Amino acid sequence: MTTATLGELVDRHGVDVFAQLDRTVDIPVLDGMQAQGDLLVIPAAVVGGDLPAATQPVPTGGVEPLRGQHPHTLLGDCRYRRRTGQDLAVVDVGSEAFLAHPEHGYLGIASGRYVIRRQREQAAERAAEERLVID
Amino acid sequence: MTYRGRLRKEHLALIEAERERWLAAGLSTEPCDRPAAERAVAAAYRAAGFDPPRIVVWMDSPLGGSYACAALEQLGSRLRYRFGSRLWREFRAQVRAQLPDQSPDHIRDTLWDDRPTCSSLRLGLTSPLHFRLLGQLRVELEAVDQLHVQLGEWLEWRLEHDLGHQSGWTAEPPVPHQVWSQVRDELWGRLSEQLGAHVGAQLWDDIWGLYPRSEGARAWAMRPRWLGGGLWSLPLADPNLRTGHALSAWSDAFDQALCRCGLAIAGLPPSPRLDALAGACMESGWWWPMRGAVVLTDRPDRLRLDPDGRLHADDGPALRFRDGDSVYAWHGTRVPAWVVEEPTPGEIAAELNVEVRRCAIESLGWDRFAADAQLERVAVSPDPANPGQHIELFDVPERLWGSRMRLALVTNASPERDGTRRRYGITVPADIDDPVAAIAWTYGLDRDSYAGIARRT
Repeated sequence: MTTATLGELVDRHGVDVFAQLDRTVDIPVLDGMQAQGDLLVIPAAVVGGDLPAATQPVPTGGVEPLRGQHPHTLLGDCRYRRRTGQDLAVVDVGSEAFLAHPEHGYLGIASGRYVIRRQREQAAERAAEERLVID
Repeated sequence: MTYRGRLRKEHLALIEAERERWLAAGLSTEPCDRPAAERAVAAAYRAAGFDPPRIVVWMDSPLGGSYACAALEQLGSRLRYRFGSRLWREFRAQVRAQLPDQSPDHIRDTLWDDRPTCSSLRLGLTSPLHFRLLGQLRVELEAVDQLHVQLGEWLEWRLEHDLGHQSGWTAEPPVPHQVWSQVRDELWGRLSEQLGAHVGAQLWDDIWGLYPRSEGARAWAMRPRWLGGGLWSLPLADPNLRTGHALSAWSDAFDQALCRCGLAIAGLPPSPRLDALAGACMESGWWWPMRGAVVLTDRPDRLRLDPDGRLHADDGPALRFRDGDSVYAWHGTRVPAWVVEEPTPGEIAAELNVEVRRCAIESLGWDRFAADAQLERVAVSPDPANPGQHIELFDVPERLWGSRMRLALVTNASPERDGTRRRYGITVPADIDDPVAAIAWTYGLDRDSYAGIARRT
């Protein structure tokens, strides 16, 4: 499979990116661990343990693992399954999939099974802990 | 009578429609259609068996509304002090326009000073109606034997269990329990508490400011006397005190939505009183029904939430009303204006409240704060995800955050609009010594697993 450029991917999948990103750059499709903003795409082997099968097909317009002001969008030939907690989803990629974000561009994800996980902060955890204690 | 039906999928559509209606009303920043609101309020009064109020006062914010309520309750006795003179002028102008053509002094001298008439008039004018309006509804619903309580608990439980696996996941998923929790948490839980705390704090500041310092404490102790207790019994000043003066789409959405859906699902006829009351709550902002008068307030003209549905704005007030009353908030914490408009390390150091301090640090940005506050750097190492860049690890002293913590400072992999790369900080546990291990912790991985990262954007 030939590698597409950022511009080609934007045209193909429809999720646009900010003007300052270089659209001529090639987006590699990798099966390793990749990060985009505060999300990390982790190969299943690294995560370990039993992961449930991903059953929901991703529609053409994509699906958002994380709701927010600037959303990340999962696109391409893959299925997903939502998780709760720090893990957002388990993803089974067929031929190739992409994670798109207006500020961070596109990540190319090769065939395989992955977990999309969100970053956490000590400050946030402490505050939540304290809120529980106070309540 | 205990309701024993099964909750079906079509009921979910009904509940969602109700939720959408209430969310739209509660989160709207459109100015109220005032004639429509007054009609809806009059309908609510009539449906409850009362004559529509003689006096209708519009204020632009719940704070203004609080003053108007207190002022109404004070009509008939001589107000010794005029609070918030702009609000007072607004209020007086409206009341004067609606009472018979007499000068306010004349009204006061002839009508209000007639003690027996005055007090019964005042009582007649201002006795709280909220209890009566809602209380009667409850009585109606009592007739179907605690349907309200039972149905409420049962609906929530059933929504989660019955429909959870039926509705499945779609691209736009409303997980069933979110249907209810969003209405309740978003509208009542957070927004009302924030607003209540803000109004209470404003009232304290405004009134305190009226007295010279020496008199302050004595005046504070005396306040119920000259304010007629009106302000201090308002639930906005104390959200826990539901003496039931104020109604709004925020505070009452859950109860009213629940009752309306409950009746529909149980196959019972809709309640005209409930529908009229719900109509009034949707058409106006916070409002205070009294027997002879009603105080209505307009909706905010700015309302900003973060993705988790908490009050938050980093570019101005999170909540602002058309009379200028503003609430600044950071991810759900009410903060003074400087935290959002102009956070500085000096202000942060001087701030006594740890919650506010934390918000201010986040607002300023950990990268700027680390430099300005001269935090001690513990370690630095190359960023495996970002060739040529480094991860720095700083110590965050306990007195700053309230607990010991470390800060990992990372350079963004994607450029900003001006081509520069922003640095951002992420807080990690204090017992981590290695910068790479710190970032690994944020993703729940061990150091070596994270170090094998292939690409970062």
